[in-house]
Amino acid sequence: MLNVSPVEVRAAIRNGTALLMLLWLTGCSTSAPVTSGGGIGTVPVTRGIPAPSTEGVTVPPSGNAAVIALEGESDRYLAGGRAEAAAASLERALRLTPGDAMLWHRLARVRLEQSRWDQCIELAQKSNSLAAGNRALQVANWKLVSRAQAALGNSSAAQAAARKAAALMSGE
Amino acid sequence: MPSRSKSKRGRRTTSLRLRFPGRWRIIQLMIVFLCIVAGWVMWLDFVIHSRFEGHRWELPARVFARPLEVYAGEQLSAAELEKVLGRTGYRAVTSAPSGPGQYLRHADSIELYSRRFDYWDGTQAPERVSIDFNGDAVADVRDPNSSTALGIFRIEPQLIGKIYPARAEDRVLVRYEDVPPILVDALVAVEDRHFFSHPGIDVRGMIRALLVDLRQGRLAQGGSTLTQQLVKNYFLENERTLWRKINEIIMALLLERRYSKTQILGAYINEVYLGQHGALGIRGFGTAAEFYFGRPLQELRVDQIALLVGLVRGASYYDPRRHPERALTRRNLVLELMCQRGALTCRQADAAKRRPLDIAPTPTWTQARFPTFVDLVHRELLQQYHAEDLRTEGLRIFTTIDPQLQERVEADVQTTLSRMERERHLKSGSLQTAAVVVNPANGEVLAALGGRDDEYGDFDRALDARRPIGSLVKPFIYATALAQAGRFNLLTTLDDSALSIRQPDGKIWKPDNYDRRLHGRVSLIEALADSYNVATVRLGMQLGLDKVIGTLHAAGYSEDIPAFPATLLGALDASPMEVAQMYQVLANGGFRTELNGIRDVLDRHGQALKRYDLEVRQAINPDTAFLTDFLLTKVVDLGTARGLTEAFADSLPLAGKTGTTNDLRDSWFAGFGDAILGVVWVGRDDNSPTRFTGATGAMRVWTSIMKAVPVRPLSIPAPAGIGWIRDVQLPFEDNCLTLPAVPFQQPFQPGQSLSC
Repeated sequence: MLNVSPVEVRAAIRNGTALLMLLWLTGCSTSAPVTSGGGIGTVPVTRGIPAPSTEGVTVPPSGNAAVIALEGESDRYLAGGRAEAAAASLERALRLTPGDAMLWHRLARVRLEQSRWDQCIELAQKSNSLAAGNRALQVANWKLVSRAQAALGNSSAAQAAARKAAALMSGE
Repeated sequence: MPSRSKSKRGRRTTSLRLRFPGRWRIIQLMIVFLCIVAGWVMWLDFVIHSRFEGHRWELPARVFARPLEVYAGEQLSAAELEKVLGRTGYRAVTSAPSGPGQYLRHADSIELYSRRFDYWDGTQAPERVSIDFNGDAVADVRDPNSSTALGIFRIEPQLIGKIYPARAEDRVLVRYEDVPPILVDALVAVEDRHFFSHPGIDVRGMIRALLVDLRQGRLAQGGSTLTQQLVKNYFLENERTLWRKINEIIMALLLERRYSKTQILGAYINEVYLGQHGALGIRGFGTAAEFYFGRPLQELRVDQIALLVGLVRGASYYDPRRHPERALTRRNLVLELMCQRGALTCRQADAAKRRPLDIAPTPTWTQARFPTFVDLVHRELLQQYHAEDLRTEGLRIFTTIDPQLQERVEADVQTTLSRMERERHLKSGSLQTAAVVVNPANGEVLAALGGRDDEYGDFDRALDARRPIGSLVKPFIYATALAQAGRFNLLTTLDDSALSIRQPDGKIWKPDNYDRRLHGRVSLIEALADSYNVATVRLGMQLGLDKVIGTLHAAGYSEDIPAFPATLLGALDASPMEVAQMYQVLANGGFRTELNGIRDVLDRHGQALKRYDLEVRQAINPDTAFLTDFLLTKVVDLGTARGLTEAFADSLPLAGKTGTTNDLRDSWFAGFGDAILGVVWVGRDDNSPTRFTGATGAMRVWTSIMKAVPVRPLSIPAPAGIGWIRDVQLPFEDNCLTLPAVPFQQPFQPGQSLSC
């Protein structure tokens, strides 16, 4: 049983109302925001690579059990040399969460594996367009682009991409 | 003595000469006759040999919908899943499923036993799965034996159509190993008791039948072995003559000499005529199982198999849909024979006789259940395969269609159009429509409607009706402007005052706004949201027609675009599918993926042939695309599509653009939410005015479609190059609005160029 005086209750109500008004003024209303800074509609947090490096780092799992299962399946296929099947699993996952920048990044990595340089670049760019919130993922994408451009023989484009990655890594 | 022998010799020689020519001639004739017979038999043998050896069945291509994926958190109710299972021929059982093709429904869960199915990435073995529901969503998907969570489970796709060989036969091939033994027993018991021992003909049977025939005074088809029936089916015309009977006997004997009982029976089971559907002949027990019961042959019960065996003697006469009483009597006779001849215990036979007929509704894929969509798929396939191969190679084609969504679209459209016609006192049936629903993230076509009735053979308006797109062109003009971030941002003011343009032919063109008013200086936001013609044309001319045309081509408009000012108001013909392709680019953040109705193709054995994999190509700068998407949400929030804010109050933000052409001949709406884009056209085939604008016409149809999906709000993260300004004051129409946040492409932060 709360032990408060009527005076304290009234004060709490006033403060509560003030707080609510403050929240409302700053735009945190209870109705869904039509747009907000950060995107159109409510934008999910981009999951990404925790450290600025690419290969050999464990990717944090998505919140979605189905996507986790499909990513696992994709990894197994890739390890078994079945790159196209790995891509198919990622595409299945993308049907569930098409805004997941990490999935697009993974697909770009599969295309790199398959020497499909053009698609590696495009998919890495697609991933980047969804990864504004995650610098490390952007770095990983630019590194993929750099490798693919180098494989295509576009050395200046490869260097430009590598510079972008470096700039992001150093926190510019 | 010599004289006596001479005369004796002479007499003998004479008598010999007298006898010899007769016998010799007979022998000559016999030799000739035997040669002819031998030649004829060799000819028949050759016919048989060439027919059987290296024989490839002409199998129709099978077209499947996309498989339903089931996973925790999915918006899917138990009732919806049950419906999907029913469509795939799964049978509801009352206790735990014991074999593939069965499911058990509880109040909040479904336990199912999936069938073996060949997918592109391999064969999915039969599996038991338990799916729990929480209201309208899936709560859990697990293996009921071990209770391990499965994450995601793929339900085999529904068959939606077939592409038939020229001979108009449907055939579902069954391998001998997969034939249920009871079918073999039934056939032998009923049609040919000594099949496994006779050499191709059953002499006793023939004599018995002949006696019956003589008594009844006709030549019936009695006494035929299965081998003879196969010969009849394959080679011989349907006349009942003695000559044909002789041929049949010879060929049956030859067949048995060349091929094993198993081979003959296997051919018979796949060849025998068991029904008719319009122009299509139903051949083989596998096909008949699908046609009459909607299930694979392996899953049929004894009574169902007995029914099919009964059809051998007269598929039309004993048709269970047209003559159910005859079919039932015939079936029970078959069961009785099976019991008498030891194929079944009489207890089992009696139990089976008591079952009702239990025929599935006439399958609709024989007439292409979704003609617009199958047409789309067919056209795509013809780019890869010869028409003949499509019809005969038994390809398995996995498409992108969501059949449940497609059906809802078809139903909703009918209702909405009828209502619209009544409201404007239009003749019932005068309005036509076309609609395309796609997933912009991967270009997959989820539903396609070619007309309000969508009958097979009808004009496919979704693919082929090219109409002027009107104001649907405008977002691409604004995208062209926003790409020049230094010159244009969302708050840049445009001039919506009187405009005169001198055309190349010397005539003056004065574009006008829909409301016939001029609005002076307006923001970019207002100009697109309210679809001002004058400001837009001025903007387009300022940018340069070539630049605008470049954007349109990049977005996927493939035809030549004339560099006329009228292009800026959408004097450009496109089909709904082409419009969907263009808006896919906007809805996918500037990345174009070809719209596509096929996922992959397998061959007749289930081996992977081709996969239509996900490819993207940047067509519009992602920053520009984001700004354009923002503009399109303003069209909905504030502009010509504001009618949606009420219908979709809980599903905002959504993006869209209305389009109306001269005299209201064409009503368009293109709009998208999270992972879904819909383009709708409403108009009249005779091109007369509809009395509907984009907002009052096509947008209404779009609304009913999207409510059925149901559409989820947009959720687009801004690319890294986007900055925001907060609490922007914006004059809009005659009001002063405050927008909480307006994006811009860095580093070109807009000054506050307008104030209320």
